[in-house]
Amino acid sequence: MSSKKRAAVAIVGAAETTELGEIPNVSQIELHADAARNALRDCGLGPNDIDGVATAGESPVAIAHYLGITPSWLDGTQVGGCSFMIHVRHAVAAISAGHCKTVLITHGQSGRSPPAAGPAAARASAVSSKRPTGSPAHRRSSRSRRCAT
Amino acid sequence: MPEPRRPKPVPTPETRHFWEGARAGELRLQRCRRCDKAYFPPRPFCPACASDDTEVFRASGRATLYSYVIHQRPVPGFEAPYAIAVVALAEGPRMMTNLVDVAQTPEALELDMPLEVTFQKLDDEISLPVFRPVTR
Repeated sequence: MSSKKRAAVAIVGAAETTELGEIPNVSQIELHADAARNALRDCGLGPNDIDGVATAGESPVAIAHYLGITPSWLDGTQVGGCSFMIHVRHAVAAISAGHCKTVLITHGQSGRSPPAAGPAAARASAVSSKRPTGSPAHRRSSRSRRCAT
Repeated sequence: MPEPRRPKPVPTPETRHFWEGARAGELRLQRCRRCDKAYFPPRPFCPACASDDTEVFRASGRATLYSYVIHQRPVPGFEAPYAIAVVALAEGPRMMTNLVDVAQTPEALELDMPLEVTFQKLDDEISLPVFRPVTR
């Protein structure tokens, strides 16, 4: 039963920011947004396709508003570096329970001098209930899984 | 111990044009060149259609009072009671702000009343856009 549920949810897109390293011209929230938009491009989705947002460090409400997403599900669990893996598990649970269909999970950090500039890293992934069989999302999902773990 | 002061905005690379505008007495918004949507707060892409093709423009500064709450408790840098307001800009976006040149009372603050922007200088870098009733 549980394995059947797992098979119904896939990571369909994943990406990092356009630039990596020290990016003095990008704020922390824009790191989230840049990685998120790259992840959406990776799986051919747009902000309107997303109905769930999870993040830590920034508010998921702020991220949703910034990206033009009106989510029906939010997760702001913040428990350190593993927050984002917990977001993936929460997203699978939420999708399985029918609270939402496609969740965007973002991370972004300006380590040296938030909220403006500093050494930066960000990644985002979209988790979707779309059945992976034969879809472009499926072809990307294995690569995305590697990115996300 | 020094008195706690009003917290000040910290411009980021994406919001710099807004704060430079405020310093120069201009309310600057962004607009999508693809779908024509005007939006705020600043970001380098359109929140409506996700296009990267956006531009900064000077807004009219006209707005109407969309909603407010009157804060009664003292807060560093503010003189209570004061209204925390959301105004609907003529170009479409809504903005959270304060109201000046008007009594901070429910009797004086009528929803949909016409407003215009003015700027409150905090220091050499930061001026805050606030709104006052249109008197003409």
